[in-house]
Amino acid sequence: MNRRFLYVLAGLVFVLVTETLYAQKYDISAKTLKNGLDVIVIQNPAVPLVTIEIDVKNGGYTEPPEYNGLSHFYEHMFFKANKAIPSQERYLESMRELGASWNGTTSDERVNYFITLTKDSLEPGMVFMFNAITAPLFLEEEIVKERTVVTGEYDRAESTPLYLLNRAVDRKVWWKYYSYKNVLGDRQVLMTTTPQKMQTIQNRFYFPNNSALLLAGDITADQGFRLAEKYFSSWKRGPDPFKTFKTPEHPPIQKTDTVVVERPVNAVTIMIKWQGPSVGKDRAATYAADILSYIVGQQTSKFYKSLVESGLAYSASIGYQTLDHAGPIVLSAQTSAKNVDTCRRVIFEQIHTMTSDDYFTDDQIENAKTILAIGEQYGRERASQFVHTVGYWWAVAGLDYYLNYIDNLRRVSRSDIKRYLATYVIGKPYVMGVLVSPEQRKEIGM
Amino acid sequence: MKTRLFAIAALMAMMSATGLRASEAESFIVRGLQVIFKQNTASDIVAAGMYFRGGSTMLTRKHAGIEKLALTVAAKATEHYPKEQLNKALESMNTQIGVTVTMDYSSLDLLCVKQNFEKSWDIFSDVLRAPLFEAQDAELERQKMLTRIKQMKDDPDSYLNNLCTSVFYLDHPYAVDVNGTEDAVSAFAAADLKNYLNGRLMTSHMLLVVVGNTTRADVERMVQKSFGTLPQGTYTPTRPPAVQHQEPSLKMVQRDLPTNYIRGMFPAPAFGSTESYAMRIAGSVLRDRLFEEVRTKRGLSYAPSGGTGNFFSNYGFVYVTAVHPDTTVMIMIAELKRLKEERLSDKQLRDKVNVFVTGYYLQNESNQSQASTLARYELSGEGCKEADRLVEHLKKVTPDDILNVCRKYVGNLQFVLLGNPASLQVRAFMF
Repeated sequence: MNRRFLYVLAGLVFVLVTETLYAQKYDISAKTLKNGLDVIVIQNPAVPLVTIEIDVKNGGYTEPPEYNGLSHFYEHMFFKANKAIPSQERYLESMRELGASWNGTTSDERVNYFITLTKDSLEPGMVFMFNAITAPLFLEEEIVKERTVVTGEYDRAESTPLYLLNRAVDRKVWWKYYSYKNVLGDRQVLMTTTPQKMQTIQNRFYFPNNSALLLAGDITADQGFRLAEKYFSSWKRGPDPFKTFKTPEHPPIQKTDTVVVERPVNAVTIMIKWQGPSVGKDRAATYAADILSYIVGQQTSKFYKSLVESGLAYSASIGYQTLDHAGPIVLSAQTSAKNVDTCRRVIFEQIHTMTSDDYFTDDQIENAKTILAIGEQYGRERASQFVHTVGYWWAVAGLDYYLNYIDNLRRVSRSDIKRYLATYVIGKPYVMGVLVSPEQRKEIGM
Repeated sequence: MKTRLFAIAALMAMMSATGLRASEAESFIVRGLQVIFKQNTASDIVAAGMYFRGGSTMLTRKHAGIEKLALTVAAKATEHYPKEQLNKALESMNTQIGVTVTMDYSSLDLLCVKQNFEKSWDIFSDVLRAPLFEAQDAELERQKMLTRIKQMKDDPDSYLNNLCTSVFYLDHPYAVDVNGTEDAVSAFAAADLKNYLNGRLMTSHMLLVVVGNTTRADVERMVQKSFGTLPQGTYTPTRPPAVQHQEPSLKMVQRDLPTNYIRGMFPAPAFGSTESYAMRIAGSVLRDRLFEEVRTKRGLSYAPSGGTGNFFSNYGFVYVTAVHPDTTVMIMIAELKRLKEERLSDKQLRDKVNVFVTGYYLQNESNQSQASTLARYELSGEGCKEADRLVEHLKKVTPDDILNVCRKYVGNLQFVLLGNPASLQVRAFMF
């Protein structure tokens, strides 16, 4: 046997082993087509359905001010005329003929489109999705109508007090590059959307090498890969958008600040936000962040007992959103006007004692890991929903992040949690938002 | 060849006639308690619910919310699992115990993984058999519940829903809010909650549903051990009456919002009844048409919708958020008229049923959802087996059935508008 043959054999074994490893974990298999499209198959034959999902690395994080909100607008245009289907009316009729349930979402670092149908409609569903993702028409008349629909969505968000609080806080947390964090967008930009702008987004981001095709449900890996090859291999590769279009790195919050939002509400909401870790730069901190969130969420925790069990707050939580560009850390609590000052004081007392050795027990750390691991099991039960989770992790952190997530969580130690708090929370600038009614604000003297 | 045939036969054996890997539901009695069990080995999850019959028909305005608060406080601490121990045990297993209340029934729900089922069941059953009802816990949960009641008005959708229910179900058992009112909830003492729950712990009031990766034998054994000595009691089912309004109406509630939130309700056949299948299809057709006419063709709203509920005294609805309510509602009413005048084509009906087939399987993805559907069918009086016959019933519906049911029920809509429109033509809402 010559050396070259041995190298080739070793390479094949590695590929086989890698694919096998993926297939053994959570029944997920993955491969990449020649055009760069990542294909992920999630096998779960509990019901005879398959969800076809396409995830694209697009979203708020790609939007300079003049494009703010247009990743979301683009998502709306997916569900309209394309080269195979001449209008949205015909599009909707096609969905009904397929017996499909369908939707799409846009978030900070991912846009996804999905249809769920019975497995006997899978191949027509694949054709449908291929045409929608590769050849939207961006008809002027459809864009004009969609402007008011998207701003209607904007109106609904602005009718919700918690959205207004979050926006007011975000404007200060992301003070320099707000558009890159503002998924819903700018009204003026939305109302002046053009087919040309849609084309620009397509030409920048909508390539197979910037996308993943996920097939979840009553489908095997072999079937999924074969169908992906059959229907998606003609999608032409494009340049890597992130070599040209860089998301600017956000500078820290300039100074700790407070913003008050007045609305007719019946409880006072406190929201405190920090700039948290970027998963590409500080992976370890993201695991520590999740463990800490689940420690303080336990009803046996000092955090819960001092705030909720004591009656100071109706609810209290800390969370971290995993992102590749500074995920936010958010502490929220709801309380009454009479308790708001004490609640704020106790929140910060808790934060400042979180790094002490007796703040949480070893049991609480282990429970947090168990809660996350069993939570993952609950999440995997519904293939039509689990597929969105896998797609999100693919886009934001890479599939390997998700596949090794529970194993990495289990390795988190106290010192990891302390490092996370010291790097991103304790002594770091934050923005505190308070949502309050005019009457309560007067009562508090805020 | 032989191996392949065997594999196909094995697959067919695993799947029931419904196309699901789960077995069919069985109903049986254990020491007077009705149990519905459906085995599902597709995952390692077990979902269970102890259901209490009656819902709002068991309550007066003075007792609005008592069942919800009683179950919530019961789950805080028990004789064998005092609070700290209970919380530690649940957290160490990520077992979830929660409370659900609807117009028609309430439930204490359990979700766990199969390796923790026995231990989780022990806690779950102790919550019902030996809750402590400590005064401090009752007070804490009361304050949270009062806050949630007040906060219902903060969010426009939840406020709109609440307003619509009070208008549509005026002078009806559903007018008693199962989530509670400020007056009622403020008055409950811990002893009241304890006495109330004791009064419900009778097998005639209860139904247990378990779906998941366990066996009938295990379920029977656990039920016998935990609930074997419960009294039967007397439960007299009270069917909530159908709703009838003699004329349409519009209630305006002023709120300064960027858009107007609008909902109109009409009576619909009771959940699970023969007519309800035709109405479900009609409701789904209505939703599609509203999407097309209001949103796609005219861009008037992001969120037009329509459909039917799943109450025992049921309703259909149209919903929209719109800056121009008159224009938008006129288009929606035109679609309601169309349902009463225009026969669906066979193709339209066939396509619609296909969408329901997908929806049926989506409903069956999780054990929790299956348990809840089985309970709803059983408690409605239609029987749990009907849960798996949904598609069969829908396939029997004809275009004439849909016309007839719409002509019978769709009309005299009760509208609520929450917002501050610049102008309003009330007559646009009168249908």
